[in-house]
Amino acid sequence: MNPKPCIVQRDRTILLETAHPEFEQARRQLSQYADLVKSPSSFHTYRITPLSLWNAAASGKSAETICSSLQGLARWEVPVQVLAEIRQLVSRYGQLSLLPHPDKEQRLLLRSVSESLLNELRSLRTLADIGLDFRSSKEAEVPADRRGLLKQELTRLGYPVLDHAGYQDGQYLDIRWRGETDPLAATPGNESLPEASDPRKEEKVQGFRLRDYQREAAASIRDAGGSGGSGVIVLPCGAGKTVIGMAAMRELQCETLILTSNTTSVRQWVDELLRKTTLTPEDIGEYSGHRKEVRPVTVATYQILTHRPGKGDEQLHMKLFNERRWGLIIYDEVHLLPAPVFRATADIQATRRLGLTATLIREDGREHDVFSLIGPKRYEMPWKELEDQGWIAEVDCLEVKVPMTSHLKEKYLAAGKREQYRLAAENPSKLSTLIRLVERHPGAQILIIGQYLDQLKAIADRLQAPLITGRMAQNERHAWYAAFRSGETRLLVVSKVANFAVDLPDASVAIEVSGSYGSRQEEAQRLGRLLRPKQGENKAHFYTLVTEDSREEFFALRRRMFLIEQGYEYRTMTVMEGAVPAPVHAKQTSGRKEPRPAGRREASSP
Amino acid sequence: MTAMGDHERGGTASLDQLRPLERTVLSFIWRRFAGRPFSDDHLRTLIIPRLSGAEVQLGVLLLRRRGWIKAASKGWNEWEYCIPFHKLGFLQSSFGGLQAVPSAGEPSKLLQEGRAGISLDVFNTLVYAEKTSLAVTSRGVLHKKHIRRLEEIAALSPNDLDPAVLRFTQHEAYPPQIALILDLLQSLGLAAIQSLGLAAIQRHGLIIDRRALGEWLELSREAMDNRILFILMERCTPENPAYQHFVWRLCDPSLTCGRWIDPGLLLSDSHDGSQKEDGAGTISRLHAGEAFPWLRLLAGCGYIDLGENDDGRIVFRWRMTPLPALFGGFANSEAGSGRLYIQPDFDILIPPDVPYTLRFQAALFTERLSDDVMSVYRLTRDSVMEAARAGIGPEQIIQLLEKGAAAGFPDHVRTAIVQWGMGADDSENRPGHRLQLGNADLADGADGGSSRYPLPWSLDSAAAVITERAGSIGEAENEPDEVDERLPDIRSLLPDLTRIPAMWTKDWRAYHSSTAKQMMEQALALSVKLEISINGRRMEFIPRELGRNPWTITGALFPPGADGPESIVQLSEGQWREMRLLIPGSV
Repeated sequence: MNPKPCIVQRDRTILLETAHPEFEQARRQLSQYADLVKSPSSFHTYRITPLSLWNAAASGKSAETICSSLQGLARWEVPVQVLAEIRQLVSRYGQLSLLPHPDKEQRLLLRSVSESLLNELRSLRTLADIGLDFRSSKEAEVPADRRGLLKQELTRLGYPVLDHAGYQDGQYLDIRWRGETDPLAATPGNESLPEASDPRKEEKVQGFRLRDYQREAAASIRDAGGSGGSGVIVLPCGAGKTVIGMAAMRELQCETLILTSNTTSVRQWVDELLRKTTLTPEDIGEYSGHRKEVRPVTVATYQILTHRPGKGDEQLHMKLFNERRWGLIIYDEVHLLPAPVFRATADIQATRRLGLTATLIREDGREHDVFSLIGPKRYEMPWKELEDQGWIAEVDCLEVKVPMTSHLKEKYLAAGKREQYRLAAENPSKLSTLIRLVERHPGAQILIIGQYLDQLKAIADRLQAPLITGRMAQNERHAWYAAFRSGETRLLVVSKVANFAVDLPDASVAIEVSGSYGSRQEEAQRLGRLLRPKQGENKAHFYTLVTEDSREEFFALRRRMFLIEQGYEYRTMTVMEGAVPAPVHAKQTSGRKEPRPAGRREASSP
Repeated sequence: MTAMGDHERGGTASLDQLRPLERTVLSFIWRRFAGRPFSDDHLRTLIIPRLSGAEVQLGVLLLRRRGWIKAASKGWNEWEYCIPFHKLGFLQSSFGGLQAVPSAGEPSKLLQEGRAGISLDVFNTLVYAEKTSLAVTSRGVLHKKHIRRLEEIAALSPNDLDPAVLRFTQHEAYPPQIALILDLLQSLGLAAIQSLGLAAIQRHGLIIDRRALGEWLELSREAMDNRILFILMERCTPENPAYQHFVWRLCDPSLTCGRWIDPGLLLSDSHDGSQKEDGAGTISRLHAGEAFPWLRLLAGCGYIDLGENDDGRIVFRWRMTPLPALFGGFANSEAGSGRLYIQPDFDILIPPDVPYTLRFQAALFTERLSDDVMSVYRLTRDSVMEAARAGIGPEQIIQLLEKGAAAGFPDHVRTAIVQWGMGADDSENRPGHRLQLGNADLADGADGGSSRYPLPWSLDSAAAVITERAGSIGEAENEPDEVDERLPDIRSLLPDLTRIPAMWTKDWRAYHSSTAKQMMEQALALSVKLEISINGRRMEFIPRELGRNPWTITGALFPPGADGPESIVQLSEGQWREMRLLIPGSV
C-alpha cells in the first residue's frame, strides 16, 4: 500500500512530501486548517496553530472534519495529543459572540454558550480592566468603544470571539469599474465571454476583468447574516491583491481608507484606481510624507500614521482613521502592519476591514492581533495553483559564481571582513559575465539590480542604460518606468529603490549584481518583480552574481533563504576563470539534475 | 520467523521438558517470588500443595541444574536464589497468561502522551558523547556542564521518575533521568567511565565502546526499544513480587498496541487464570497508586500513553508491541532501509525508517532541531566546521549525504558544506575515521584504558544488585541454559537414610502406635511425606504441625496419583494403620 503523504509531528507541524502522488490533494486539505510555514522541495512544512484552527472554524470546518482529514493524510498515527488539542481549540471557536446591545446604543453584549466559560472569564483581571461587566451567567456587557480591545484580549487568552456587533456603512461613494454603467450589473468577469483556452490570452483580448479567484476572494468578505464583513485575503505576489481591494470597494460603495507599506505602493494604488475604476483624481488622496490629502478614497502609508514630530510626541496622523466616515479600511501587506496601527484599529471595529497579504506569518509573532482586529482568513490561493493556471510566471533562479582575479584575490585576503564583502560584491569580473547574460536574452525586459552606486554606474555606462537611484526625482523615475513598461527601454539599472513595490510589469529577467548583507526580504522583493505573467512560455529568469570563494557567498545564501523556504530552487554555475564568462561555457557545480517533484518550483536551464 | 520467535520456541520447549515436580515447584516459586531473590528460609515457608518440603528442595536443585534457578553464595554456606530475569517472560506466558482483559473506552483526558522515546535519549546522549569529550571530576562524576547539556538533550523528564521506584546512589550528583540514561548506556555495554588515554595526566571520562556502538546502531528502533524495556524491567522494577508480576502482565501479548486498558485489571491475579490454584495466600497485593510510577516511567520513556476516564480512572495504551520483551528475546528485525531528505533550507529530515547508523553519522555534522515522528536536523556553518575540526571533512559529509539522500542534494547546500568546511582550522583536524561505523575502526577508542570506575550512577535497588551478583542479563541471554557450577550433590539434600530403619521406607505395614507416631515425627523433621492407610484407603500425608497432650499431627491429606485437592486434617494416634515414608529420591 502506498504510504500517505504527511507526517504529523507532536508539535503540530505537518511535513508534506512534495513528490507524493497525493501531494496536491493533501495540500488543498492542509491549507484549510494549517499555515504553510515553508515550502522547500522534498517536504513542505505546515503548522496547526490556534489561529489556523479558528480560521478553519470560521470557514465552517469542525474539529472532527479536521481530525479525520489529518488522520487520512498521515503516514503514521497522528499523535493523540495533537488530536486532543485540535478538538479543544476548535471547540473554543463560537463559544463567545459579541452582539449589539438590545437597549443601550453605546454598549455591546458578550454572550457565552456556556456558563462555565463565562465563569472562567470572570476571574481574569485584564477583562475587568477593559470594562467587561458580567450581567448574568451567560452574558456580559462592554462599552462599544472597547470592542477591539476586548476581542484582542480574549483572542490572546485563547478565546476567539465571533463579532456579530455589526458595522457602520460609511459615507456613500459611487465606485464602478471603468466602462461599467450600473454598479449592480455584472462585475467584470461575470459577463459572458468567448471561451479561450489560455486565460492570459483572454485577458489580453478582453482587457481587464476579474479573474475567478479574485472574484471568489472579493466575495469571501461579504457580510452575511451578521458574520463576515471583515477578514484577510492571502494571495502570493503578483496575484492582483490590489484588484481584490478595488472589487471590495466597488461592492460596498463607500469611502475607503487604504493603508500600505510605502510611498511607491501608494502611487501604485492610486494609478490602479484611476486606471480601473471610475474614480477621478479629485476622489483620491495621497497621504504620505510628501502629501497630506484626505479625500473620499485616501491611500496612506503605515509610516506616516505612526510618525511622531518629536520623541514622545503624539502620532498626529493617526487621526486619519476618524477624519472621514470611512466605510472600509484596506490594510495592504497586513503582515507589515505596525503595532500602533493595531491600537488604532482596535478603536474602529465598527468599520469594515480588509487585510491583504502574501503571508499570515509576522516577524513579530502578532498574528493574533491580525485575527482579532482585522479578521480571520477568508480566502487563500497558493502560488502553485496560480502558476499552474498561468497567472504568475515560473521563475528560473541561477546563482553564477564569478572568480576573482589574482590581483583582487590578494587585495581581498589582506582586507578586513567588511571590506572583503564589499570587494567581493563589486568584483569587476562580474561586468563581463553580466554582459553575456544580457546578450543571452535579446528582446527581454531586463532589470539589473545592485547595492553599490559606483558599481551600478559602471554597469550603466558600459551598457548605455539608465541608472535609477534614490537620488533621482520621483517624476523622472516614473518616466523611466513608463519607458521600460512600454518597451521603449529594455534595460534598467536600479539601486535598492527596486526593493520596494515598483511597478515594472514586464520585467522577465533580473540580474542581481550585489545585495545588502543578508536581507531575505530584499531578495523576495527583487524576485517579486518577475512574477507577473509573461507572454509565451510564461517564464522569467533571476540571476545572482556572486564572487566565488568569498564572504559574499555566505550572505547570498542567507538572502535566498526566504525564497528557498517558499519553494524556489537555485542552481549554481561557476564561470571558468580566464575563459569567456558565458553560461554556455560554465561548469555546473552539480552535474545532477534532480527529478522534479510535484509542487516544487522548477529551476530550468537558462 | 524472527530470531525472537526461535528463542521463544526453544524456551517454551525447555519448560515443557521439565518434570511435573520441577514444573510445579517452579510455578510456585515464580508466583511467590517472581524475580526477587529468596533464601532457604524462604523456601521452607513455601507451601506447595501435595509436595513435601524435601520435594520442594529437590525440585529447586533440579531447577538449578536446568538453569531455571540461579544461586549466589552469601557465604557461610548460605545461598540466595532467584529465577534468572530472562526466564521470567517465559514463565509469565506459561504460568501467568492473562484471560481476556476488556478494552477501556477512549479516555476523556490525555494525561501524558508517550515522549519521543528512551531509545532516542540514549542515541542523542551517544551522539553528544561522541562529539564531546565527556571528562569526569576526581569524584568520578561527569562535569556539571555536561550534565546540564544532557538534561537539555533528554526528552525524559525528572517527573517521569518516581523516587519511590528508582533510587540512585549518586542522586545528589545526577538528575534522575540522566542517571537512568547513563545507567542504560552502561548496562547496554555502550559506554563506561575509563581512562581518556591522555599521556601526561591520568584523566577519566565517559568512553564509548565503539564496537558495541556499531552493533547497537545496527538494530532496528523496535529492537532498541525492546532491549531497553527489558533492561528497565530488570533494573528498575521494585522488588515486590506483586509489582514484578504487574510489570510483566503489562507486557502480555493480548494488550496490543493502541488498545486502551485499565491497569487496575492487571494489579491482581483476577485476570490471571493460573493463580486460581494458588491457595497459599502468600502473594502480596498491589494498589493502583503503587503501580502508577511504573506507568509514568513507561510513558516518559515513550512506551505508553496515559489517559484518564470520566470517572478518574487511569488508563494506558502501548505505543509499540512489547511482545519480544516478554520472552526476553529481541527481534533482529531489519534496521530500516529508509533514506534522509536534504532540504534546500539545510534541514535534514530523518524519517523513522532511516537506519540508525546513517542517523548517527548525520548527527555528527548537524545540529538536532527536534526528535519526533520525523526527526529534524540542520546543517549549519558551526556544525560543519565542528565536524571538520573533529576529522569529518566536507568531502566525507557530501559523500555520506549523496549516499543517504532520498531525493536529491541541492547544489547550494553542497557548495555551502565545502565552503564552511574550508573555514575550519585544518591544523586541529583529527584523523577522519569517525564516520565509519560497525567495523574495526570503532574499536579503536575502546582500548583507551581498562581501569573502569565503579558505576557512579548505579541503580540503588536490590533488584539491580542481585542482577549484578547473579550475572548480567547479557551473559544469561547468551547462555540461556547455563548450569550453576556450584550445585550441591543431590544426596546432600536427601534425608540421611542411615538414621532411619530401612523398613520405614520400604515396607507397607502397620506399626505399633508409638513407632507410628515416631515415624510421623521423623517425617515432619525430614520434611518428607508419608503414605498411610485410613479406613482401608491408601492416602498420602504431609505432616505440617505436631501437637502434644494429646498427641496430634496436622497435615495435608490427599489420595495419591489423582489431582484432587488436599485436605488439611488432624490425625490422632490410631487413626491410620499401614504406613511408610516416601523419600523424594525415588521421584
